[in-house]
Amino acid sequence: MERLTQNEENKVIEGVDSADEEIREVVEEIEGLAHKVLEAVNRLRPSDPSSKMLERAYARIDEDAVALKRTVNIILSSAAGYGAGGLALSAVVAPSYDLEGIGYLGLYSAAVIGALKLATSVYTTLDTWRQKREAR
Amino acid sequence: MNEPQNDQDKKDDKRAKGNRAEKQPAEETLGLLRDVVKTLRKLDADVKEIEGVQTED
Repeated sequence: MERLTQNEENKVIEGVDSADEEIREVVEEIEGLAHKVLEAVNRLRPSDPSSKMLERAYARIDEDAVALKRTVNIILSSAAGYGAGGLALSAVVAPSYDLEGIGYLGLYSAAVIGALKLATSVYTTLDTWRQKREAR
Repeated sequence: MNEPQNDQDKKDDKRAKGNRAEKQPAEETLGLLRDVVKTLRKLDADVKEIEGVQTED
């Protein structure tokens, strides 16, 4: 039977803490960018592109909006695979901290889900903008 | 007498297995979250470009 030495245990905890830090940074970045994009898209008019350069920018936005939706859906579906409000990320921390870890990581899970909801709003807002353009 | 030690062994064993088994999905998820950041950065740049032109019009 494999047992963790104190040194290994410390390394696991360091790894978990470092993962937490990375998660926090990524979540903050998603939130900041999502708010910026949402505010800017809400100011855009649903007008046709007035140049080839803008036409390409419109096409990139439509593609990136779909890519964003796809990535968010992959993350959420993999999180659902871990059940009970679990996020895939919680699976790495919970075994390390046992029951305490589940509650601890729950905060980050909620933060990640919140960031993903914002990212979903970006997709739906961009999709609405595309539909308005096409309806003109 | 050995029971608490056995419990600890089981706990440690479960923990070690859990760390090995779950590390990969967690890293994948973190990678996907970073993809979300990259896509949002691209969207931010393109939306700003369009906004700039629409403001001039």
